[in-house]
Amino acid sequence: MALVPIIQPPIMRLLTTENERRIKMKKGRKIGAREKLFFPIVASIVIILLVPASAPLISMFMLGNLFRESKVVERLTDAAQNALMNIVTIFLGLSVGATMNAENFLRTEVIFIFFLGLFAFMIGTATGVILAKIMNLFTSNKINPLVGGAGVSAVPMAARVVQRMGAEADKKNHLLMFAMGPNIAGVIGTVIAAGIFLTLLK
Amino acid sequence: MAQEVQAALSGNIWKVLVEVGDTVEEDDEVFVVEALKMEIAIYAPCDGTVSEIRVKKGDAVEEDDVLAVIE
Repeated sequence: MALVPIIQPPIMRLLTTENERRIKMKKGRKIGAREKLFFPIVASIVIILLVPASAPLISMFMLGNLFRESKVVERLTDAAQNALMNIVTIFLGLSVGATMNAENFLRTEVIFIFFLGLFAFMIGTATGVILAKIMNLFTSNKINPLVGGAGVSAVPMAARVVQRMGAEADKKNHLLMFAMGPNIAGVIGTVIAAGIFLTLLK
Repeated sequence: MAQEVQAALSGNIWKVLVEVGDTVEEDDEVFVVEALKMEIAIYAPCDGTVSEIRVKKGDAVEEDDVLAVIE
C-alpha cells in the first residue's frame, strides 16, 4: 500500500491524454441526511445477505459510517476516528510482526505473493481508468479518467494520488472527493471479495 | 467588483496566507485547506485587495463556503 504513489501514476499517465486529465467534474446532487443514515443500514443488510462471510468486516465499516452520520454519538465517533483507530493500527502492526516467523516468511512463495499483489494493483488501476474512459462514451457529464484509478482498496492513498495527478494537469482541479467515490467502492468490493474467498476456501 | 474566494472542497483551514489589506494577483495561493491529510491550495479568483477574511486556522469548511472577499 505504501508503494501505491509509485505504482499508480505511470499507469494512469500511460492510459490518459493530457486533456482527459484536465476534465473538471461536475458536483453531484446534494444528499439528504436521511439518505446518509439509510445507506450504511441498507448496504449492510444487502451485503451480509449476499455474502454472509463478509459480515464482520462490512458491519464494522458501516457501523463507523452510522456513528458519524447519526450525529448523536460525537464522543464515540471521535474515539473511533482517532484513539481507537490509532490503537488498532499499532496492535495490528505489532501482531503481524510478532507472528512472522522465519519458516513461514523467508520463503520464495512470499516473494511470489508480493508480486501478485503488485500485479493486482496495477491491473486494478488500469481497468479503473479504462472503465472511466468507456463510461465517458455514454455520459454527457464527463468523468475524469484519473478518478477511475482510485478504484482500488488503498483508501485514501489512491484518492490522494488522483488529487495530485489532477492538480499537475490543472492546479485548480480538485479531484480528491470525486476519487473517494471509487476508492470507497474499492474497499467495499474488497471486503465482499474477501468474504467470498473465505466462504469458498473454508 | 468584489469576488468571493470559495472553498474548492470540504476540509479544515490549515493555513491562512494573506491578511486583510494584502494585494493579491489572480491564482496566488490565499489559503491551504487540509483534507484527508493532504494540503490543498485555494487560489485567488482575481486581482485585487483582500477586504475580508472569514475563517481562521482550524475552522472546518464545506465546499463553496466563502473564505474571503477580494475587491
